[in-house]
Amino acid sequence: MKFVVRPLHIISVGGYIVEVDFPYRNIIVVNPTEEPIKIDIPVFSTEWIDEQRKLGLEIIPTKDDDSFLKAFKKAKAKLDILKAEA
Amino acid sequence: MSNNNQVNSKVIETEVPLGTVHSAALEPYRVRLFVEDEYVRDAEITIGVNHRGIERIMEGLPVEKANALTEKICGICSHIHIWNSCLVAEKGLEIDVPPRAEYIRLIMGELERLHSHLLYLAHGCEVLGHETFSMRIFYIRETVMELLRMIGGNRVQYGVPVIGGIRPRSDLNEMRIQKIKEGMDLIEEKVTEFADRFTRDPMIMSRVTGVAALSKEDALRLAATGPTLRSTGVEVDLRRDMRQYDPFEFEVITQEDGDVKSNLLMRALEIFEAIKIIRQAVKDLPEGKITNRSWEMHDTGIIRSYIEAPRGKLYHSYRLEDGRVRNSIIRTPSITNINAMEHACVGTHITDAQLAIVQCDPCFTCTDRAIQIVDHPLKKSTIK
Repeated sequence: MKFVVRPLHIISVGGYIVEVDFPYRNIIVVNPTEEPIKIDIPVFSTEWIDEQRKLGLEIIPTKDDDSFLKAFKKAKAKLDILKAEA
Repeated sequence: MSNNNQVNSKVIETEVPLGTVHSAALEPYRVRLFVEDEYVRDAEITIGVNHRGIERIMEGLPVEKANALTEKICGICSHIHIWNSCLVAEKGLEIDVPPRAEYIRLIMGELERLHSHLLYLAHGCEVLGHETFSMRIFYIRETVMELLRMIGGNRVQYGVPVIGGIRPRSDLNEMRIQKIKEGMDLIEEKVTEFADRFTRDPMIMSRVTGVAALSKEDALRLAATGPTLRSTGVEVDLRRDMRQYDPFEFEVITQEDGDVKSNLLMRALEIFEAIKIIRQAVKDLPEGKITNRSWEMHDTGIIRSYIEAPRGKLYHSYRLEDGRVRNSIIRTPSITNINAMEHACVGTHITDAQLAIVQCDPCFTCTDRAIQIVDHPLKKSTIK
């Protein structure tokens, strides 16, 4: 299945991880480009991260002990700077 | 795209789009069918039309409020969401739920399975073009809806479980138990009649037999779950592992072919098992308290809970900090079934593509929960 990440947009795909020995709890996906990018979901393996990075997306995986909200806000602030420049 | 290499080896130019809003679909989603000689060679489903960001809204809410919010995820299986969400809190805070409350939660869960499966059968018949059957099943379903309203007070969002038990208004008295018993007799009789008529109809059988078949290997590879997986012959049911279901005898229904016929029969036969469980629960309903209020809130680590929803494995997870929900993640069964839906379309005639998707019982609205933060001119940011 495909999921469209809009240009200069941020989403998280924690609910789309089908965990079969998956090390991360959540994944933040940032589209820093000015083009919509389609990503494949659900997430089955860690290879997914590299595949999506090749498409130009910024992928931030978070583990159980990480603060998801902190990571999300940090990525969002970075994206806001990009948006202002665009 | 689905996991086959046909598109990679050859460019298929004819594309038939369906949706995002289409009369054959109950919910908004986009299907791209890559067609050659009127046969589907590849399919692609795109969701994300109905973002609500429930997990984001849950972040930081008091746990009771967050649990109530989970009920809003799905209009079909709302009880199972709030039940599972309460189970997460109860697991983390080590709360013992009184047996009577466990039984009533379970009765609600099975009633919900009944109405979900009946809705599936009605929708399946509608897509098949048999509207009379569809309307008759909706008529049978009405009995379940009224029972749900009687116990929960509403027909869609019942709000029965709370942390440590159930709401007092949902307790079962003699009159309610009698109504449930009568309702089960009526549904059993009507569904038996329907199943008999349905399987004897040569027109329908020829329309569903062998259509959009999913093999056992493909179902496992594509991580299908629930009745979609069981219809291919894999005997997996989380209810077998849940202690709440220990006192009850029921069979895990399986079918062999993984086609539309197997999926329809699968749900019809599961209806009888749900009725069997409800009858046992009502007969052996324990006396006593319905809520345990003697528990204390404390911080927890990440807690996870799985439950068998009508469509398959439902996952809820969060941690508690100062009585508030943090780091919430919810995964609905349709997420894991979407790849199976795409795969089931491949090789079918274009007229059967919608049937191939519907046979996996999709519920895209409860699947669409990604975070979307939209800049608002007046506010700093708005969460949709």
